[in-house]
Amino acid sequence: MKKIKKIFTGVYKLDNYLLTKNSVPGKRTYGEELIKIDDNEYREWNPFRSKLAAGIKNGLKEVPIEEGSKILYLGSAEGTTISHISDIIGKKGLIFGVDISAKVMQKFLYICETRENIVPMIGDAEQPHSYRNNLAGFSIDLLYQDVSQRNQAEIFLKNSRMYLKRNGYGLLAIKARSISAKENTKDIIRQEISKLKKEFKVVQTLDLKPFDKDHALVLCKKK
Amino acid sequence: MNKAADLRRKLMAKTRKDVQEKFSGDESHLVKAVGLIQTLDEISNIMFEQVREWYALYFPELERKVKDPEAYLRLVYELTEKENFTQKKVSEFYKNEKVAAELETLAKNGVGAEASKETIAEIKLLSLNSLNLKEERKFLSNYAENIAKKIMPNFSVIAGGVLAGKMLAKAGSLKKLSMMPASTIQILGADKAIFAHIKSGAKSPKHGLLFQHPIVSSVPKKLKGKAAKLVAAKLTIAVKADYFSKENISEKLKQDLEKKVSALKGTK
Repeated sequence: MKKIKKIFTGVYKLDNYLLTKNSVPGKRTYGEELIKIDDNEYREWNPFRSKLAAGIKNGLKEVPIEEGSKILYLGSAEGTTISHISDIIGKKGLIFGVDISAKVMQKFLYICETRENIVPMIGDAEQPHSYRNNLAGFSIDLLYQDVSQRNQAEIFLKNSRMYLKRNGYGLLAIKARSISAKENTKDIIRQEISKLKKEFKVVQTLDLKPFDKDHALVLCKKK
Repeated sequence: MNKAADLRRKLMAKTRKDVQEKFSGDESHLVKAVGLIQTLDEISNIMFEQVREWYALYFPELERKVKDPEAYLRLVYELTEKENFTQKKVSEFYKNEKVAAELETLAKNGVGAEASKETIAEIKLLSLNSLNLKEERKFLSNYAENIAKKIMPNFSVIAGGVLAGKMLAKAGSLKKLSMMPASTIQILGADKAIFAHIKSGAKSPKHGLLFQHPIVSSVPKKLKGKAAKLVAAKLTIAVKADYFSKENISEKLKQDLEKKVSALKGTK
């Protein structure tokens, strides 16, 4: 009998694998393993593909995602991470996936079709007001950002000011190489975090080695 | 919850439409075609090298006499065996009487090794495939020329269709290209050089993709930077006309450019 351990809401561990319960049984979204235990089907969450999974692997203290959470996700890309978050938040939750590229949206739309708690939109995270109408009336519990822009911290702050509720959580994946190709990774990440400190309480900063090079995941809470 | 479902339905439809709109129109097709042209060039170069090296075991003198890849491949494909390299037959496919005569003697007393019928048949097939690739590239570049003429009439007159497509691909979209200053257009495609310049103070690049432009490649090395600057300035105006006013001002721009280039050549 395989032993499955629950480590966070909706996040499970089996041996060395991270798993989420598949909300669309029988369907793979990006070629991941499907594992059947008892009567439930679980999907393997690959830390090499998803920075949140890498963060959890590297010892993230808490995952601020509950059933029914409302999440704004900037830089949704093809929806790998989003599909797992969608598993966790369940039918009552809602996740807004924003990306600027139409190319990745083509693939993302496939995932949206089978998962009813994902709302896709093409938008520029640098201009949060451009999708204001779509988000009107929703209070956002978690702002997740993973974009390859130079001013990652500024984009994060801009969006959090407009949408994130007080005491809401932020998860920011910092891509050091998009900020500078030359400087030391640690210095860049320290600089970016210091920009957040006025408005956020930084809970934890994680290096994402060995899953991603020159990346960090920052968990913070809005003051 | 109802509200969320409504919103989701609405946004799904909108996003789907946005995606379709983004890829409709000739722009993205041109970008793909130009990308394919570059890839085909690489592939056919590699294939030609392989054919030449292989065939040179059998008939090494041919590569010394015939440098042009297409003519070489044509000869390998049409004549194949050394006995066929007579002056008369060679000149059917390669218009150079002197070389044709030389090839006939070389084929008889060359230093090439024997090769079996099977081997030669393989090489022949390979040369046919490389010729087909070259053919495909011609069709594609025709297609790219036509599309470029359609979506950027002014720009493609000055830059030429394929180069126009390459620059469009590098910039990302016509809108982005139209917003660029002339200095950016001048070094578009010279990413490595410009970053080396910024990072470690190497010399700044004078031209990127524009290096392939006939005007830039025809002037002496000393004047290349200046020529690139002239062409870039005109291209900047042209792409703005293409994107915003949609007027055809290509004739005027072309004359202007020619005048300036001949003045530049005169000053040396």
